[in-house]
Amino acid sequence: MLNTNLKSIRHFSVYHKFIFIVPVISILGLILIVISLSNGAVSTNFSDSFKYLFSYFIDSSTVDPIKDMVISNIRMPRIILSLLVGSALAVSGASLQGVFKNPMADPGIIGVSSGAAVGAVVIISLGIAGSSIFILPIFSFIGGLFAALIVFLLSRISTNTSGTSFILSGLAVSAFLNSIISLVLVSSKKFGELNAILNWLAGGFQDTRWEHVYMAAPIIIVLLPLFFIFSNRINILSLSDDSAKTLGLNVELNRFIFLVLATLMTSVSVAVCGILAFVGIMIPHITRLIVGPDNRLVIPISALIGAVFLLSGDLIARTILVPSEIRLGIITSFIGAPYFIFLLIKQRNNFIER
Amino acid sequence: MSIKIKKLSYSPNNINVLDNISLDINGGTTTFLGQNGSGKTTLMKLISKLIDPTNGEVLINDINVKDIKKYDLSKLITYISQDRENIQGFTVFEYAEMGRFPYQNFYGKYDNKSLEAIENSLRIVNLYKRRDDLVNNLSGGEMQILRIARALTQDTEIILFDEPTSNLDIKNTKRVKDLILKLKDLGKKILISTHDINFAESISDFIFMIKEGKLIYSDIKEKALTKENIIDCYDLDIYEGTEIKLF
Repeated sequence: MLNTNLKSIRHFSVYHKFIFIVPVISILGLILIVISLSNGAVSTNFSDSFKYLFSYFIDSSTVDPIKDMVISNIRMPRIILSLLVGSALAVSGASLQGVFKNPMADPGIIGVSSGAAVGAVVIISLGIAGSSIFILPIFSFIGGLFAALIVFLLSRISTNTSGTSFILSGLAVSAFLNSIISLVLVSSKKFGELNAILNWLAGGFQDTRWEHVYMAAPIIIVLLPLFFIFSNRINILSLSDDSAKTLGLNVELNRFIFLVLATLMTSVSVAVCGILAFVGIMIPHITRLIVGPDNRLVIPISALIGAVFLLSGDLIARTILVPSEIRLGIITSFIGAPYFIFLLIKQRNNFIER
Repeated sequence: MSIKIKKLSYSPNNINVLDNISLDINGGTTTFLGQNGSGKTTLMKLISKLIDPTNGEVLINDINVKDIKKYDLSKLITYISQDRENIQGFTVFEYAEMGRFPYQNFYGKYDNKSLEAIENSLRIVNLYKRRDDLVNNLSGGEMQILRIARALTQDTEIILFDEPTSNLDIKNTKRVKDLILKLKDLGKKILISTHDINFAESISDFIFMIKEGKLIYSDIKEKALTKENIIDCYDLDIYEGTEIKLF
């Protein structure tokens, strides 16, 4: 994750931040995992969670089978998926912001989110979403990739290579796809169907099963390390194109590679949990406010912060109104946005503008 | 170290930006002088292979730049653009460090000389004491000097400066000028594009005058910078009898 010679090459305080922040967030994450396992609609306690986690070493036969089932088949996949999706969205957002030299870029800009939404909405309105657990994620994944492909092709038509044409094509395609979603929504006759669509659009993990983890985990686990390894290239890409080229970087190729990687990670994330606003755009900014703009720090640390953020968001979403749930998409923006504003104000006092 | 340009043309969409330019660059500091939009920057970009020519070729040490790999070229030649970059939040050291990118391996690990090279270049440009300052807090002149430090970190034989003194005041122009002279003493081969005649006079050994994409005059500084040449190069409307004082 960390370049081996970072210590000698970076100035000391930032390296210090890295070795301080990574353990702090990791320990926070572990504590949250145990809390998440132990809380929810079915009341369980910490010892049940520990017995589940260490069932390989400890005899867990004393745990009530229903509680054990809840922990292992409902809560555990939810926790794992929220960690994976949180880091995937945060890293996609961070890399796209660097690649496009645009702090407002987020994974939705590729058109993936709206494409996936169209796929999901069509499947729900056709009434076949319930026939298999795989159908909804697969079709929204295909929808996301298809939208991204159209954006890619459109942006190639323009001769502008700086990425602006890409952002604009993404905006246009998203607007078009959103109109399709609206069309399906207003023409929907059944209340249950409308409710299912709106629920999916708000994003969340309440339907998560192990199957979702099996679908998303391989892609995210394979792709994430690639971002960590090549994070310095994102630094160079965030310079002007001429500067990046004179440093020997193949700008077009590397930009394309990062776009494909981010598209895959975002598509698979949106496919398994719906659209989660805020994570892809705000988590990288929060990370930058803490560790500075160097992507060798921003990429791995925003992966950690994104994971812990979604985990805690999901914990709140399913425990605050027990036994019912709030959608995670609502929670993330509700907590995240004020915290981001707080950080911005705090940061303002540290900066001397000239 | 020699740069040869043979019958170079650049005409995207059939607009002639550069038209059949041939020139040899040998020793000393070389300046491309001309009006805004005359094609100086395009010529610099063609030399450093940021864009590909429509016709003709650029030879560095008798090798066509087309045949030099990007990474190898970035250890041979660097180009300091006049683009403003949004790099807020990086420190001076981190910015200079980016110049070391060509010396990283596939996984982003630096070679052994990197730390020394970065610190050395910051010492040369007198920014070593400010290495932990944020680039946001640098003035325009200091930022230009930091760009030069990044180019130095890249450790190339040839450095191309595109309008190095645009937007700089007299004091910072002098700082940049002194720094470029220092680089020349360090054995760097320097190419400058500028529209500033005074700056060109104070720094160059050899001058190429470019007008509307064509090379109109080339000679050593003393012979090139005459009243007639400058009037021609810049299309000046001078009433008869008006005196022009050069320098």
